Amino acid sequence: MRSPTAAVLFGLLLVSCAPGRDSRPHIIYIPKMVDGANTFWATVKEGALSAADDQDVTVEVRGTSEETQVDEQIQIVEAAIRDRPAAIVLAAGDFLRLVPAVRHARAAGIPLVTVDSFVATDDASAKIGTDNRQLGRMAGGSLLRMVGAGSLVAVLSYIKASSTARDREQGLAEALTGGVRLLPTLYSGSDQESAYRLTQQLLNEHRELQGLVALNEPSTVGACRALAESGRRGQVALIGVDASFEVLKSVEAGVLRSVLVQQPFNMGYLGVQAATELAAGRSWPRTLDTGAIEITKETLFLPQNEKLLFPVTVLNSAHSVLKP
Amino acid sequence: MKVRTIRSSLIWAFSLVISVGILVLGAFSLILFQRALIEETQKSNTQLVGQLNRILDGYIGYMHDLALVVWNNPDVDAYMAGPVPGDPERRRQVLKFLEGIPQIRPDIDSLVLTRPSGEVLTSNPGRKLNPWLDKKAEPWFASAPPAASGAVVSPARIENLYDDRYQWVISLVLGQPRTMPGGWLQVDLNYAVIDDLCRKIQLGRSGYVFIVNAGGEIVYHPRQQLVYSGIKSEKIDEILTLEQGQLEARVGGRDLVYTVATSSQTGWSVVAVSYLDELLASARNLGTVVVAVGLGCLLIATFLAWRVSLRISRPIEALRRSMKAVETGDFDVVIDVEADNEVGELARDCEIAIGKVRDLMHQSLVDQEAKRQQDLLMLQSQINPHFLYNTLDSIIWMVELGRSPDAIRMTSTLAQFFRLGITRGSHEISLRHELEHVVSYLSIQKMRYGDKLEYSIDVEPELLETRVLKLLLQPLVENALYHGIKEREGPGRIIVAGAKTGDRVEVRVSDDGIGMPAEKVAGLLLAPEGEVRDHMGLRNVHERLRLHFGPQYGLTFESAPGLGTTVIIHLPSRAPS
Repeated sequence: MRSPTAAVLFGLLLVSCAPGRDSRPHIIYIPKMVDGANTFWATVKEGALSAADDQDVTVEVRGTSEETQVDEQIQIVEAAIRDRPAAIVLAAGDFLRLVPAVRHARAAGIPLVTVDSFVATDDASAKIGTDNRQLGRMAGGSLLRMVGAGSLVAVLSYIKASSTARDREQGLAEALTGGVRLLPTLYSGSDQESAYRLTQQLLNEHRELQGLVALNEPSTVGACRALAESGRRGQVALIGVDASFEVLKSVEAGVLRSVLVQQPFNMGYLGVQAATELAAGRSWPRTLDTGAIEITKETLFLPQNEKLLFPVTVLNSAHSVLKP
Repeated sequence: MKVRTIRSSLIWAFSLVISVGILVLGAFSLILFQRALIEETQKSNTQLVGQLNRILDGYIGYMHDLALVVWNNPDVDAYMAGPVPGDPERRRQVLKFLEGIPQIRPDIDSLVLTRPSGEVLTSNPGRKLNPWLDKKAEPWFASAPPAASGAVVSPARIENLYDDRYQWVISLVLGQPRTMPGGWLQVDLNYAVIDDLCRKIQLGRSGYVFIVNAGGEIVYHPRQQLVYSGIKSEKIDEILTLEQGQLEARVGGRDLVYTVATSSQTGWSVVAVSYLDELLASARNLGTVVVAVGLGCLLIATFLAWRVSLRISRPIEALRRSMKAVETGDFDVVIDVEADNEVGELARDCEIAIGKVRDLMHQSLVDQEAKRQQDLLMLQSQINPHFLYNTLDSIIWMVELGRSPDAIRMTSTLAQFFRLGITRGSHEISLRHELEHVVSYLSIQKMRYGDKLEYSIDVEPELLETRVLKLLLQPLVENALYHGIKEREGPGRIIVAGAKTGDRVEVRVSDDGIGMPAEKVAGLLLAPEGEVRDHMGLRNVHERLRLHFGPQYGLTFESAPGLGTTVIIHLPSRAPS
């Protein structure tokens, strides 16, 4: 009787010490798009994967190839909920249409963190991204430093219905109201070509124009091209939002006086960190502003900005940012 | 006082020893293991950063050598110092020379030669130069020494030399870009070389290496963006002060160890970061194992203690129950203890002791019974009342005949006889006394029977003190008289003789009476009680002897019809007590 008892005890001991299988929390990250050529989303993903390493979780990326495939993204979110991950990190492709999917995640008890682009519901566990109103205010503040009081300025926004555009416009208006004369807001439809033409038209119609704020990357690129061609770069202070190779070249060339850059790496990183914390039952602030940084020609090559503007790991194998 | 059972004591002792042992052993091994782990990690990290530094030194050294080779090339030298619109042929040769270098060494991204006039020649002549290039504005050039005295190395930086790309490089500059006396040369090392090298290094689960230059600027860091956004921080100042060695710090809520090595050549500090919680994770596993083994051992120990104590206490308990039974007087109890140890032996010893006590008790009972019987027998062997009646009748008769002297003699003899018979005290008396008693009996009978009875006493004087039983001889003599002499024709004779044979004394009472056939002799001592009173006297004497002296003593008979009978009394020849 003695030896079998001892054997059973020893067996229990072994079982209790045996290593289990990969028990790390599994997090599904659903960006707006998974296109590797897009610097912004590649950087968000890089941040997410870095956080996965640091937090000791696994991150699986699922997404559509186009930012406009909202229906597909809804399906991806629903499928992700069925797979019951520890948490979901979502960059919502649509402010309104993703609401039911986000509610389903909440009903299923899966923490869902929205990054960069949010949804029109409080059902998301946390929001991490740029405070777009704050971004708009920053752009306004930047412009006011460059133009005199009472100057004529214009705003080139992108999509009227977009929540981020609305927030940016609002913030901008808050900063500019009373200080300058504001022309009616223009909308580029997030299209470079359209932004280019609108800016050309604007420059032609308003010879006394002293300031222009372009509220997203395509609008900024289009505005830069039009302004560079017009030869009025010294007279019109152009402020842009979001960096790209062309945008940075325009800053170097002095066409773009300043550009407000978001922090996609931090969005991805903090998104996964938040998801990890929430999945573990710890608290995380409901909203977190990852902020934006103002880049001018003088600050473009400061080491701290270089790392943000030219993210090493998302560059091609030669580690360079090539002209697209 | 509370009684503590052997079992609980044993279990306590076992558990205590095991717990303390495992605890102490576990704590020691944990501490040693942790220390060894940390030391081992520090050692390997020190090796790692040292090695990394040598590799980096190798790269930078190579860049420096390369820069000197280019700078001292006769064509380059001549072109640099030549007229301002440079000789086109020489320019072509210099460009060809520059162009060839990155083809041999792909890790060299570009070479940039700037003439004092501001003319720029690169190793990629096909690429359009960035029209907005402003070398003098770059802060890392500020400290560039004159070309002869050395070179300056940049941190990781973006090279915006060409119009169509931004490139991460480490740059080495020979010459003075700020003032440009004699121009300057820049060698760009592709940053991918360092990035790939460092990124591959993983220390523990999330440990890493990073590099800072002497100015505290980050050359390489796997989480550079986090560092710049303030989400992550490193103790850069402490690291720069330390230059070489280990530094324990708490950063971002986690304890970590920095292992720093600073290159004298580049001024770069290579820093390995290992997180203590990851290092000690395996130690924690060990701790878990120790606790589990400890608990297991505790369980086993408790179980064994329980078993062992049962082995000891169960027989003791049985023994105790048996002894309780003995206490209540049950000496026939069987101690049922099956133990092959000391307790078992103890139980067996107890059993033997109890057996002895039981035997003694039994013996004592038997002796008591014997004594009681002896008394009874003696009472039974009191003088035959017929003898008294007959004697008194004889006395009356003598008085009637006027034979007063005879009557007086007989009466006094009778008195003497009774005095001897009623003497109280021990059952044992000397043979002398018993003989006196018998003589008085015989002399009374002699007076009654006259010539019909003769008797003689023939006992050796040294036997007179032999211890005999009271009223031993008289019944035998009475038998000899009534059943031997009285039945025969003519006078008879009774002889009482004593002799010592070995350790025995034999007293023989012989008569020459009618004697008995052998079968009657054999039945003398066997006859059932109450049948013949005469025999009862014999049996009585025989029993008393056996009871008093032991079964080996008693009576034997020798008889032959017509010849007479001898009764032999066997006695121990003991010294008078």
